[in-house]
Amino acid sequence: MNSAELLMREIKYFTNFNNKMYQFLLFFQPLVFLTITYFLGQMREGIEVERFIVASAIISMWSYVLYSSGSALVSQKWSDTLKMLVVAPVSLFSVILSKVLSNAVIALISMVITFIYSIVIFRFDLHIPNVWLFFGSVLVLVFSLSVIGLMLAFIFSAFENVFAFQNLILTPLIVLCGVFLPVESFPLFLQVLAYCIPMTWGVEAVYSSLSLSSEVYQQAGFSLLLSGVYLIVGLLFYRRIEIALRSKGNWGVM
Amino acid sequence: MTGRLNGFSYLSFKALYSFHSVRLFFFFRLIDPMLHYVFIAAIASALVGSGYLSYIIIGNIAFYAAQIMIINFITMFRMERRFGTLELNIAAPMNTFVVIFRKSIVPLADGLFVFLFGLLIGQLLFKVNIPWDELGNLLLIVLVVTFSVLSLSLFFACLSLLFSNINLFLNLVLGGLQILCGVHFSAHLLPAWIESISRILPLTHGIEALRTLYGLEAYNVQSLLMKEALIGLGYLTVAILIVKVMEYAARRSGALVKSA
Amino acid sequence: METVIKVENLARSFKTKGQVKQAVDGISFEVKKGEVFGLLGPNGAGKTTTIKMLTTLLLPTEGRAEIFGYDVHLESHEIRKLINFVYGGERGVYGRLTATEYMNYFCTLYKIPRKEQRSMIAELLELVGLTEAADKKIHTYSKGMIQRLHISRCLINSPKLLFLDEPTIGLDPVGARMLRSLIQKLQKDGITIILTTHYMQEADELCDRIAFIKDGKISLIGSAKEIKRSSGHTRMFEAIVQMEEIEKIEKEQTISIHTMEELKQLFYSITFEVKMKEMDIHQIKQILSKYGEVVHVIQKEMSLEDAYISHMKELG
Repeated sequence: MNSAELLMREIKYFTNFNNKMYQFLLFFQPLVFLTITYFLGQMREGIEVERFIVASAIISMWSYVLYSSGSALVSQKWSDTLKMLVVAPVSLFSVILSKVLSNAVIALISMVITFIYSIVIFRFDLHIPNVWLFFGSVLVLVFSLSVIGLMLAFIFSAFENVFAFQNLILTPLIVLCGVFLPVESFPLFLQVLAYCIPMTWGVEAVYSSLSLSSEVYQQAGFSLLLSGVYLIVGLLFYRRIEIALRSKGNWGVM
Repeated sequence: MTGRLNGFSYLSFKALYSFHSVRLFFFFRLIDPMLHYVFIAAIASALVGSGYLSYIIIGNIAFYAAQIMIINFITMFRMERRFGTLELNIAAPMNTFVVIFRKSIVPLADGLFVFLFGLLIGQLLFKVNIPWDELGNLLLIVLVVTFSVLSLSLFFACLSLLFSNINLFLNLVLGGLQILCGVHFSAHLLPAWIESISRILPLTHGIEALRTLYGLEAYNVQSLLMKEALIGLGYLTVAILIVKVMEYAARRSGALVKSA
Repeated sequence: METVIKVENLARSFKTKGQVKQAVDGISFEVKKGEVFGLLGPNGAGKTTTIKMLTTLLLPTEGRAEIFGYDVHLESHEIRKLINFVYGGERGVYGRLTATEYMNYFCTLYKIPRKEQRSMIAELLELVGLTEAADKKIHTYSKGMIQRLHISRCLINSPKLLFLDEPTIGLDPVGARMLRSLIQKLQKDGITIILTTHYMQEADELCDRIAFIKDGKISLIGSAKEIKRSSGHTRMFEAIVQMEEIEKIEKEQTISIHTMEELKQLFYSITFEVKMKEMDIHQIKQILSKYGEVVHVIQKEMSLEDAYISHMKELG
């Protein structure tokens, strides 16, 4: 299938491990988070180690998928290859999708790196009761991240200067989606907002999988459903971008 | 002299600084720090409970100001390379250190503002009450910490002459400062040999002094401030000493004429 | 005449990924006061590297260079007061500043007393014709305007020696023309100028002396006239002939045909190079008339471009 082929190419050619920022996000950031977690844990007895290792891993994935997917179109614009992509016979949507998916695969690697660090360097006693359930729920979360990444890619490329604001969008998202504090502890309107984001359900599913709570399937289901909705909306947007791009002949001033 | 200084620094700011509109100021100097503190507060309360909230928020206010200063300072040099103006600056007869120093004034003012504003947010958002009766000492700490962090930035700027891409290095340093300088947890918790590194970095003593003033720790503020100031002086001296060496090395390696 | 630049066996290599690239490979030349000296060569020949070394931004790996008697290696500080430089293209400006602000900035870097700055900036912007655009942001400028701004910047410290690295690259004919007359003006004011360019006509027009550089080596040096003369053995002619079988002339041993164009039936215009040095129009007519009727023959003047191309071909 064409998309699968594109995805392979994407990972092979464009995942630039020499890119210093990628190296940082992949290898160094988890180390910083884990170190902070480790020493904060020393300040108080009896914290739930798994939950926080998983939280660290989620942050690494999160940053990776959203930063790199969000910048997928913008960096193309900078390197002026966007035009070439647009004239290629594959649709713009599938090009971007393959970029986002390849980032998702690497994000999973970053989670594994976090786990390796936490076991090898920090000697955390990491115990995941049902590895397959956990892995499945992580996949659900990554999928939702990728879909949001897709939306961000659109937003960043359509509006000038928004790219600079990505931190302002990404940091609150992590808090809002309940990576650290449960969403129930937020004021009601924030809860409503949080549950409109597929990652919130994904994060809950991941945590539920750790405690083997039966809600995991329901949460994963909601996450998938919401991601699907976003994906369809995204697809419609991309169609419009492509058309606007062709008719106006310029990009970025939308 | 001061007039010229202002003119030059102002033009550097206008030419190179990452933002200069009210809107961007609002987002990046008011909203972004707040989000950072909220993010940190969320981690802290989830992990160690709200008892440590003030402790962590204080550390992060200082760290965030330091981060702003270091990033913006280094970004200015990255922009110089991108614009192809770094070599024009270096080739001018003005001493390279003086050029770098004059460019540091805007990040310094920026860092001071973010620091003070951070303390205010701490009070309003997280009830980390400013010790008003110790205001003089508080301002002194803020000044000394921004000075020592600026010295560190100057040191990096001198180093950055040699490297055409200092991005990764910068991120490593910021990550390192977070861990080493007692930002989130006391530097005393670190293994002894790592703590000895913390003790020669700016920020470590400053944050301890700040926490003492806020009644979160009990150290001797005066001696901590002395140490912080000395460390700042140390980096400043090293920066002045190495700038010639770095410039020479950069001419040798060709780093000056590469654009990042 | 005072020697402004003295270069002896200057070389520079770069190490990249374990490989050593010799960008400049032992060049020597001298430039006298008031000269416009052209460095011509293909891309990657070492022109820019040479200029970066002479402007003290890059250290030579071998050999030495003196500017006004100061060593580029050890006395860069003295040299920087006396020189300035312009690189072609759109780099080297702060897009967010206006031209006046940009000039102000560099006035401070060059330690121009504050009192003098205002009148000096006005004067320099006037010189390059940017007075009206002085308060517009540089990012709104055209390429030509940016180049002219660079010229006005590089005059801030009243340099005795200017380096212009492809100053007319990417400019439209009018912009290039304007820049060339500016350069001529500067030369009249007694400024020594080092110029690199890809445009041979420009070099021919502006330069007192020219050096051809390729693969980091200078292969030919002299005035445009001397260079054309030295390539004189490739003598070019143009002829209009009437011939039945034009193919036959292509086999003629004494000439080598460059272009051939059919004007109308049986009438051709041909340009060719004569292989033997001593041959006049009369002899050439005789040769051609073996193949048909010669309408007329003229000797083509050798342009610098012809000389350049034939020289670079010889170097391979």
